[in-house]
Amino acid sequence: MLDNNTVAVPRLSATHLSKWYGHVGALREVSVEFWPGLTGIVGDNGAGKSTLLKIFSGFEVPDEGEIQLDGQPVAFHSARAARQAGIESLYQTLALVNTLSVADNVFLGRELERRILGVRVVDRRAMRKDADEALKLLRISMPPSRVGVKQLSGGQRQAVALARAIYFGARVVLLDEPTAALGPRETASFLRIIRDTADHGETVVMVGHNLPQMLELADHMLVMRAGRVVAAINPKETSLRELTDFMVGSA
Amino acid sequence: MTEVRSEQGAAALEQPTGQEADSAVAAQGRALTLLRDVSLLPVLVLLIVFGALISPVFLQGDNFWGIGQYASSIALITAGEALVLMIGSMDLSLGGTYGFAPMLATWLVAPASAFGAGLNLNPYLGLIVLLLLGAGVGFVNGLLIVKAHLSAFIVTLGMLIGLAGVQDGLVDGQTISALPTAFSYVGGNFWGQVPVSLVATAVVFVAIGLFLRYRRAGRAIYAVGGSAEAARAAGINVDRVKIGVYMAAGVLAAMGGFVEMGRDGAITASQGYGESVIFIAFASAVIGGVSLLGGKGNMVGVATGVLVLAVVQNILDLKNVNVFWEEAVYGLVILIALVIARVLGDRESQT
Repeated sequence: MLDNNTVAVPRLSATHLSKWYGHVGALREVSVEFWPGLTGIVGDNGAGKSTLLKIFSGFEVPDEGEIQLDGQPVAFHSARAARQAGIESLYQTLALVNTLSVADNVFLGRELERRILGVRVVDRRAMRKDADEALKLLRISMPPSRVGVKQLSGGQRQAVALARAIYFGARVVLLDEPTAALGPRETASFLRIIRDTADHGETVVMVGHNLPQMLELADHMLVMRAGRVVAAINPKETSLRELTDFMVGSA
Repeated sequence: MTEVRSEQGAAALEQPTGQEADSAVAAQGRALTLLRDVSLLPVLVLLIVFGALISPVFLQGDNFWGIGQYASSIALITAGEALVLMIGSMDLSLGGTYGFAPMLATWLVAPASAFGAGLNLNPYLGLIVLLLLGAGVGFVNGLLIVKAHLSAFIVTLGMLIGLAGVQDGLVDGQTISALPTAFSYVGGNFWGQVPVSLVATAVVFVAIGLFLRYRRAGRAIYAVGGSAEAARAAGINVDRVKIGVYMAAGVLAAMGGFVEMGRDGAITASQGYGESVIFIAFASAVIGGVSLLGGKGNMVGVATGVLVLAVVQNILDLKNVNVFWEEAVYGLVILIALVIARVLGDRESQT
């Protein structure tokens, strides 16, 4: 995964990020690095996990600190700016349009075009073909991409959002509790997709509550508590007991 | 279908129940979408057969093409309302623009002796003014609704009444009958038996239909109406799309009023607001399958919705239904058509 010509830099990193809501320090001097593969973030409610993701996805602006993408300092003042830089977020309330087809949703706002007599027209056939192929890569059971999104299950909808991120070459994919609304079988299926995506060298960051599941799935893990990152652990060498000790602060 | 299924063989093995059911759902969904798109055609055909049986005049050229001429002006304002409904909003003021824009343009062009302003503006400049008025009203509506976050219902209701007042006031409630050829040709003339207005309206409908289907901005209208939040997250400039739609709707309403003025050979103080044309436009759009919730609808549906109501109106006229009762019958027909449209719409949304 590493570029041989340069000194290795993390895909996404932050130094000394702080974010205050009134007198509440949601984030205090957080410095993190995200490398290709799957990084899990765990912590109790109010530990700052979601605030951290919101800052990376441009929904919140930090009060202090800096973000670096591929080693270069960046600042996002909108979700759109973060997205243009290649940081895609999938949230529980999915940004899909129910009344449109799967293909329309994959290409929402970035439709493929071709020219007819010099006029740029949306190339619906190419969009359907590419959407079908992008979803096929995820190895998930899906109806053809011309079908309306409202006919999909929760897991399939997540897959559409993920396919969109991957198709447009996202540098980093951020997931906040992506399986919270899914049933057991869909959760298993979606987690497999996430694992596949990480194995393909994408940088995936996932906030989750299910600790055994995160330990099994993630390549790297960060534990947050009271607005700070209190531990960066290797999930392969950490027991559930040790992890919970970090979370409650008795370690 | 088969090709997709075989490609996904591996996935189907992992989740054996998913794929077959999905394909069936897909096929069913597509069939119902198609059904909804053309669901009014049988109704339209039935109405035409009914009309032919009930009156020997119905299918005669003058009457039949006359329906097309009458429907043209309604179709244009309905197209405008349909676009606004597609972004999940509403615009009552289109009924005001339908009378106000042609009135003000004609007032600028007509001589003072015919209740004009006496400015004797060049008629072709007058046409440009007419279209700009439509766009301008839409722009003001858009700013108030999108930027100032005021209720679309209240803003456009106020605009409707205000525009009708100006329309009335300009000519003291009088009618301007001295229309230059540039103002009456499209609405009033025929090529052979075919009304020019019908040809012009068909061209406009095809253009809007292609725009909605094949241009990014057209796709954005559906996205904004389906979920403004998702559209914004996808980088679509939601405010600009909405304001653009209000402006386009205003232009279409002005064009509709222009065609109606040509058909009448005059512009009256009551055209538009005084004739409650906005309610016909609303009903036609909704009967034509445009969702009041936004995100859904197409121009084929809108065209059939307009024609269904136009044919009903014509049959009522031919049967000499007592004018005092005609509106009651018309209203009943609209209610029945809405129920049918709603039932079909629900079946579609249950899949």
